[in-house]
Amino acid sequence: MPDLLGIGTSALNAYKRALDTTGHNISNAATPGYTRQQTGFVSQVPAGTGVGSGVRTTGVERLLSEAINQRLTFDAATLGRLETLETSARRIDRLHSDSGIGLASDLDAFFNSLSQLASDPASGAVRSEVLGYAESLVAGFNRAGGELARLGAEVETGLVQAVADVNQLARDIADINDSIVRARGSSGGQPPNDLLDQRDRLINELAGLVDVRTVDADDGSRNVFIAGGQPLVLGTQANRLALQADPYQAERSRLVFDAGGQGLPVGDQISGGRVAGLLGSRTTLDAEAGRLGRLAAAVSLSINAANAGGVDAAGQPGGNIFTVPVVDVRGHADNGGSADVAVGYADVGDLTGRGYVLSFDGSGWQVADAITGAGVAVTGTGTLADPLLADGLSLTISGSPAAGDRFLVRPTQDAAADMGVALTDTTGIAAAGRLRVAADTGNPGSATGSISVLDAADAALDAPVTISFTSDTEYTVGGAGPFTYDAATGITASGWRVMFDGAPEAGDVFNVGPTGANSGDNRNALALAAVGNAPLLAGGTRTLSAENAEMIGAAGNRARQLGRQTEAATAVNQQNVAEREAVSGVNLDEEAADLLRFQQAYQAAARIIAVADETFQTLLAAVGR
Amino acid sequence: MRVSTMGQFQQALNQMLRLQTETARTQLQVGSGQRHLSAADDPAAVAGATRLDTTLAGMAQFAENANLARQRLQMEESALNDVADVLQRLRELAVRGSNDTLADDDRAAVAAEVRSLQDQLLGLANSADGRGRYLFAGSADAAAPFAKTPGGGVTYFGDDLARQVPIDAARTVADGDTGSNVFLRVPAGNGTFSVAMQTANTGGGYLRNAKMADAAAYDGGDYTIGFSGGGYTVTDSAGATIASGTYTADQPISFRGLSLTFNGSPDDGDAFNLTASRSASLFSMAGDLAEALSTGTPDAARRTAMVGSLSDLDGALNHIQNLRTGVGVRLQALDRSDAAREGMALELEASLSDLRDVDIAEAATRLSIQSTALQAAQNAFVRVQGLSLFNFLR
Repeated sequence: MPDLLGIGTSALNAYKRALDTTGHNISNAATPGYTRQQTGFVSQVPAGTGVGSGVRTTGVERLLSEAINQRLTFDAATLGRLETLETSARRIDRLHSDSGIGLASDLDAFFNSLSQLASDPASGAVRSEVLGYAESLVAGFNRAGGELARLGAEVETGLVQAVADVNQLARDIADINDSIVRARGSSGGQPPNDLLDQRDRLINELAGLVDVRTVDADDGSRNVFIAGGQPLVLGTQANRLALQADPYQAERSRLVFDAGGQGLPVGDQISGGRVAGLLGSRTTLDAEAGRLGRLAAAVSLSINAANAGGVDAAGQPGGNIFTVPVVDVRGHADNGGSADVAVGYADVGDLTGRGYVLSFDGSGWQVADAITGAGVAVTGTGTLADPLLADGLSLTISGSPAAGDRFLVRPTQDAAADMGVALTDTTGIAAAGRLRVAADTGNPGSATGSISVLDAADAALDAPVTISFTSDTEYTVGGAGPFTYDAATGITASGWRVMFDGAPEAGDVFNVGPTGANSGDNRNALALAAVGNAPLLAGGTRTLSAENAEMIGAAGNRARQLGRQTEAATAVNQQNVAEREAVSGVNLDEEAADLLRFQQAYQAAARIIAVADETFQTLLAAVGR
Repeated sequence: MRVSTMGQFQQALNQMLRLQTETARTQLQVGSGQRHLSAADDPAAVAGATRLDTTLAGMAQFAENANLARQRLQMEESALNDVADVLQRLRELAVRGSNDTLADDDRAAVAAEVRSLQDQLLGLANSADGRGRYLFAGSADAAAPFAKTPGGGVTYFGDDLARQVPIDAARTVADGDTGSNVFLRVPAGNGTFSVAMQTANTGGGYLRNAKMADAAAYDGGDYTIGFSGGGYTVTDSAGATIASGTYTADQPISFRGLSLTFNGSPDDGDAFNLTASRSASLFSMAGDLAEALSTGTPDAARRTAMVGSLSDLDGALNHIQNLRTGVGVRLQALDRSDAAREGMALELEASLSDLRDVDIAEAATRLSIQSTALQAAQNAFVRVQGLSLFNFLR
């Protein structure tokens, strides 16, 4: 008789194992990353022919699809990057939609107060209003610029955290690799399922931070590569990412792969995960700050220039209403020469808001876009008399550069955050034109003149001068002359031009001189108000408020696009998770059925032993009589 | 397909989270009345709405500017009306003063009134705008623009700058006229020429009437009409004789399209100067009139001056009338721009509302659909979640 007892025992053992596995599955039904396990059975083959000798377990296997797991790892990197980018894009969008629309009304209020000044130039109340709105406009720019700077600081903090997380995960993966290699050695072929699950989960988590590529080794360990082939985990060995000071700006960090003390910059090679998202956000924030700063600089520079064209309530040429924006110039840490670069604004309309790298190749200077590296057309030599001119900037170099020296030039990066009101007294607003021409009250004729300033730098501009018509066609200016009068060109002298309305007659005298204090003239107020409607930006195609509206729209567009991409990536990820769950997830009903199945089988196996026992007892009883 | 228990939970949960997000969004839309919670919802609409905001704010400012300009122009209009009244009265006085039967005393009284009207004119020329500035001073409106000089003349301290006020993106309107234009640069005489008696005249010949018969024939030159031996000679500024003939009282002397009528008996060597019209000030016109009416002025000189004064005052009235018309035209322009602006603002606000405001009826319907869906999802979750084989294992 074959060993019924042995057969029963093999079944008991097998189903005990199966029940254990089912119990393990049920208890891990809610464990993230857990893969359903299954006990494999195989019948014990008899030595020769005849009845087999029961059942045997072939081990406990994980039910998973490696392809789906790889897809999930890839998804994690895409999703990590997009989610991070979307978060910062949404923050910028909100910034524009809240304070940006606030900025729009600040701009409107400021320029409308200038329009009001044009209708009531002598009113102290209106002048106070102009100053007040200038202050709230500046506050609006400071707020928006400050918010962008804060977002930038958050990105820096986020990078520090992400890099620490990457390094921690790399160590954990290396440790698990170690455990897996040992476990495989000691268990005689049974895979350490739960360790494998844990490693899969860690690698997935790592992929959420930085895109990875994995290669399995023969000993069961899994190698992880990042940034186009840098070995983050090699077997049981973990390397690290690190943050180093940026060579241009010590307060900013750059990402390096730390291979034996040598820092290899890898920021450009990382294309997925939260780290890529943070690096991308940093670029976006820089561009945004540059563009907002360009708007702020355009307001400051144009209004200051317009104010300088007139005279204030004290009769003096107008000073600055806003503080003069400063271009941020940083030398590279490795620069060998002693050159210094001073950068000023040459043409507001040509400003781009981007950053540039100015480099010296030993004989000449090149300017390139700081992000893309694309060359920018430059004229001039860089001397004070002949500065380098590129994209609305004028760059003057002093000292002697060494070949390879580089400078980072960010024309408007801080212009919004640093914008300020220079004017303290409302009398400083130059509402009046600088010069005026008055017909002498004794004039026989009834012609009147109007004057425009051609050259504000003329030394004799403000000197009072008399124009006398010696005949209907000839005149003297300040005693010089006589000159022939041409109605089409008017009269030009010491930086100004007078045109006449009506024909001057012999004996007519016109007095040209400064407008004087406390004037009710509004010519320059009109010029100030006109700044608001002038197409100053983007090569003279966009007004200030249109640029602001454009920025609001652009930020909204970016947030919307990223939102859609993230949504799509999330949907793909959910689909992949569902597929993984379909293969590897625990279904409690299924486990309950298995529980019943194996319980019944176990009970039946116990019955086998009982029957074997009874059979044996029967035999004993028969023999013992 | 197999469904894992956790997957089932997760799916139902995702569904509910999505519905909750949508419901919360709709709720915010209804609560704020805004269709877009940020530019990301519809970048083009939000940017467009921002541009409309700018335009509308600008239009509101233009309306304020127009109001201020209107106030000033109305003030100027009323001042000009007063000036016209004064000039009208001066003209009446000139007519009365021309009456030869008037006794010297009466004439002196008229002269006194003329002088007081001159002061009144000065007062009007120094009208304030009620905001501490002066109406007729050009840009030098911080101080009174006109002042009397010891010699009896009037000096102007203002200038020729009339303020252009923006009332539209592309349009400005002058919110006043300069004092020099209103009071100083007034065409004297009949607007073309004026005739004055030479002070050295000794005879009683005087100008009765001066007319322009043919404007095209007048060359704008200055002429002298001299009397001698019962005849007259007209010479031009170079001394060449243009016309001559026998002098007869009340018979017009015509040359170069002009027609002058003299009366009285001029002595030999008496002469009158005809000059092309020069601009003069209202004050000097009143001053000249008062001077002519003052006791001691010879009759012939007075009579000639009266003819001049009357045509001066007619010209001045005409001048003020032209200014009033100009002010009226500008006031009309302001009204028209107001009307255009209001119409435009209504349209822009409608577009803005389309871009920005949420359709409450639609949003409320959406909210109720979304909350129903959420409730259904919750119900389904609870039901499905209750289904487990373990419930039946006892």
